[in-house]
Amino acid sequence: MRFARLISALGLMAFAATTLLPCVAHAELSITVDKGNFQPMPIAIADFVGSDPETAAQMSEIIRNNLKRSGIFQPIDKAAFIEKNINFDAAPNFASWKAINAQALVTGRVTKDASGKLKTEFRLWDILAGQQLTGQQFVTDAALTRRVSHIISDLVYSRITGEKGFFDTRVVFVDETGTKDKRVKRLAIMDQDGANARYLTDGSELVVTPRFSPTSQEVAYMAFGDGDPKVYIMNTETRQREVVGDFPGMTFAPRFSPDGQKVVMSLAKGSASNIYVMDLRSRATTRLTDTNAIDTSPSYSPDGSQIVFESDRGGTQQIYVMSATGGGAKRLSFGEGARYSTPVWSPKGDYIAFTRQKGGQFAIGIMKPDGSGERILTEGFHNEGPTWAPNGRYLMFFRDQPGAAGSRVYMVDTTGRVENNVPTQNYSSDPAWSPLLK
Amino acid sequence: MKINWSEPGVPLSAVIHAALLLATLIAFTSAPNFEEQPESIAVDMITTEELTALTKGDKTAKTVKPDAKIKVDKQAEQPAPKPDSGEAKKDIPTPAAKPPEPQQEQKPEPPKPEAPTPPPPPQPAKPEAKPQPAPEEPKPDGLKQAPPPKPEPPKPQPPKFEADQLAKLLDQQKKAQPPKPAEAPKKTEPNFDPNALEKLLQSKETPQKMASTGTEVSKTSTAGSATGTASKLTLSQRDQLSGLLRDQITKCWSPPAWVTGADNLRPIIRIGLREDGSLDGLPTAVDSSSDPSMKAMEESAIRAIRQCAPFNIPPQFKSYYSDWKSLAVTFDMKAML
Repeated sequence: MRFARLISALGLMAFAATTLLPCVAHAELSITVDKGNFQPMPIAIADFVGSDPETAAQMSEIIRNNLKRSGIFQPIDKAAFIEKNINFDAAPNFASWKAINAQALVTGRVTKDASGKLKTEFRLWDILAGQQLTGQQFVTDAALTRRVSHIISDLVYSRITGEKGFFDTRVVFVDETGTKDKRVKRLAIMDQDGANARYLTDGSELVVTPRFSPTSQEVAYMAFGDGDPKVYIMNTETRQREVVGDFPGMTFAPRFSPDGQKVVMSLAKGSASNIYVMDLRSRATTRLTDTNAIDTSPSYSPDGSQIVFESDRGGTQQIYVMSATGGGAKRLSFGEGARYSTPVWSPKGDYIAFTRQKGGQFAIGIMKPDGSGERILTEGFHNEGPTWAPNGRYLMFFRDQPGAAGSRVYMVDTTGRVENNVPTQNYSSDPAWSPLLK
Repeated sequence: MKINWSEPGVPLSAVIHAALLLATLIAFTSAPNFEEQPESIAVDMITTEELTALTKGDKTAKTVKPDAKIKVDKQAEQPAPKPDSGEAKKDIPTPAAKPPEPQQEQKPEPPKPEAPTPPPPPQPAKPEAKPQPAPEEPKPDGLKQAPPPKPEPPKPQPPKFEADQLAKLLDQQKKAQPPKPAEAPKKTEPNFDPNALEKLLQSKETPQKMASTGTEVSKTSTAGSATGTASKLTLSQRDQLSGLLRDQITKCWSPPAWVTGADNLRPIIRIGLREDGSLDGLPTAVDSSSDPSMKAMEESAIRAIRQCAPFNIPPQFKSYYSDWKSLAVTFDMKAML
C-alpha cells in the first residue's frame, strides 16, 4: 500500500513537472538588456511663434533652462536647427529633427487676444516615433508667462519621465546680506529656477529654518524677536503671520504635517528639547517625546503615520523614527563615526534625506525609510538643510565653500548625478521647497 | 521474493527506479515531437549555403511570392507512368509526413525544351493567372489558395533513351532525384490532399535521366516563400547573435534612472526585423502598461530600439533570417541600481 502510494505520488510529481515545464520551443530570439548608458535626452525646444516674439522667445528660454536643469534633458542649440520656420499647426519635418539627433521637439505659439489675455499653445513631439506625445493650450493673464512656461516644462517632464513635475514651484529661503558679524537675514521667495525673487520679511529680526506647508502657500519658520525665539506661520501671498502655539520657552525646527493641518516642532526646556505637535485648528498641543536629550528636526512620513527626527539620546546625533502619536523610537542611522541631522521624509515616501557630518565633512544623503541603502549625494566643506521637491526626485540644500563669506543654495537629484546652483542675488541658505502651485 | 522490511534498500531502490522510468515515459509523451523527417532518399550533396539559397530564394529577386518555388533552369525528366503497378522502384517520401511540394505556379512562358529531353507537349492550360507581385507580407491564407499538389506530370511521355547516354544515365540513376524533398519540409502545409496520397502510393516514378533541379522550368527566381522553413541557428549561434544585438541596444539605451521602483519593472519589447536589420513595423511593449513609471521604462526601451535601428546583422547570420526576424527584448535596470 505504502509503495503504491509512493509510486502514485512520484508519478504525480513527474506529471506536474512535465506539464508545468515552460514551453521551450519558440521561434522568437530573446534578448535581455540589463545595462545601459544614461544620456540626457536630446530635445529641441523651438522658439515659440506668435504675435509677440519677445514673450514667445522668453517662454522658450525658460522651458529650455528648466529642462536642462532637470538633468534628464539636453536641449539642442538653436543654431543647429534645420527646420527654422515652424508651422505650429502642422507636424514638423521629423527627418530634419532626427538629423540633428533630437529625440523630442517642443513647439509652441503665443498670442494675445483683444482683452489682453495670453493664449499659449504647445506640442511635444516624439521625433523617433514621428508622433505628437502631448499638447495643450492655456489662456492666462499676460503677467503669468513665467508660470505658463513652468507648467509647460512640467508637462514635458512628466510626459517623458512618468514622474510628476516640479518646475511650477517656489522656494522660500533666507537671504543673507551684510558682514558675517552683522548679518541681515531676510525671508525671501523665488521661483525654483532662482528667478522672480522678492522679500517676505524686512530684516529687522533674524529668521531661520523656513518650512513650506505641503498643501498651501504657507511657511512655518523660527524668528528671533524681542523675547524667546518663536515659531511663526506666514502666508507667502498675503504676508500675514502668526505665532504657533503659546509655549513657555523657545520653539524651533517646525514642520507641517502632510495634510497641512498640524505643525510638529521642538520645545526647549532647560538642556532638553522634546517634540510637540500642535493642531492648527484646535490649537491643541501634544507632547510626543519625553527625554532628557535633544530631540529635534521632526518630519512626517507622507502618510502621516510616522515621524522621523534627530536625537542625541544615544550619545551622538542620530536619526530615529517613531509613530506619529509618539512612543518608542527606532534608530535608523548607524554610519560609523558619523552624526546625522535634519532628516526629511520624501513626499514620495521612498527616501529620507539627511545631513551627515563625518570626518570634518558635511554631506547630503538619502536612505530608505528602514535605514538601509544610504546614498551620499554630495559631500564637502559644508552642506546642510535638505528640502525635497514635491515630486521627491530633487533636493535643494545650502553649501558653504571654504573661504567664502556666505552660503548658496544648490539643487541635486536623488542619483547625485545632477547638481545645479540655484542663482540668488545675495548669499542664501535654508531653502524650503513649495508644493506645486495651484 | 520476500521483501525484507528491515532492509528496505533494494526494494526501495527498485521502486524509485521504476518510478523514474515511469516519470520519464510520462515526460517524453508530452515533450514536443521531433520534427518529422522524410525517409531517406538518394540526393545530391549540397552545402548549407546552397540549401539556404534554395529554401530562401534568391536575394536579388524583387518579389516574395506566397507560393514561391525554387529556381529551375533545366526541366527534369518527366517519369513515365506505370499504371497501377503499385510498386515503387525506390523509396517514396512518407506521404503523411510530407506531401510533395505543390507545383503551384504556372509560368506564362512555355518551358524551354532542352536536349535530350524531348520537347514536352505544351503545358496544360494555365488555370490561374500569374499572381500579382505579392505584398511584403503574404496573406496568411496564401497557402490555402494554392491548388492541391499535382505530383504527376502534365502529360506522360514514354522514355526514349539514346544509346550514347545510357552509361551516363546509369551513373546518374541513383542521384537523379531532385534534392527538394530533403529540404524545407513544409510543416505547416495545410492542404494535404488524400488524392495525392493515393497517387503517391501508386508510384509512377522512374529514374531520372538527367540531373535536374525541378520538374518544371522556372527561369525567374523568387525571394523565397514566406512560409518556407529556413535553416536554424545553432544554440551557440543564437547566443552569439543575441549578444551582438544586446550590445547594440545597450549602447542606445538611456535607462530612466529616476523611475521609482525600477528594479521591479522589466518591460519586454517585441520587434520585427527586416533582412537588412531595419525595423519591420513598430516596436511594441508586451503587456503595455498605463502605470507612468512602467510607461517611462517602456518608452525609453522603444526609443533605444528606434535609435539603434537598423541593426548590424553580420553576414553569417543573414541566411537564418527566420530565426531573428522576430525579437523579444527584455529591459532590466535591476543590475544598474
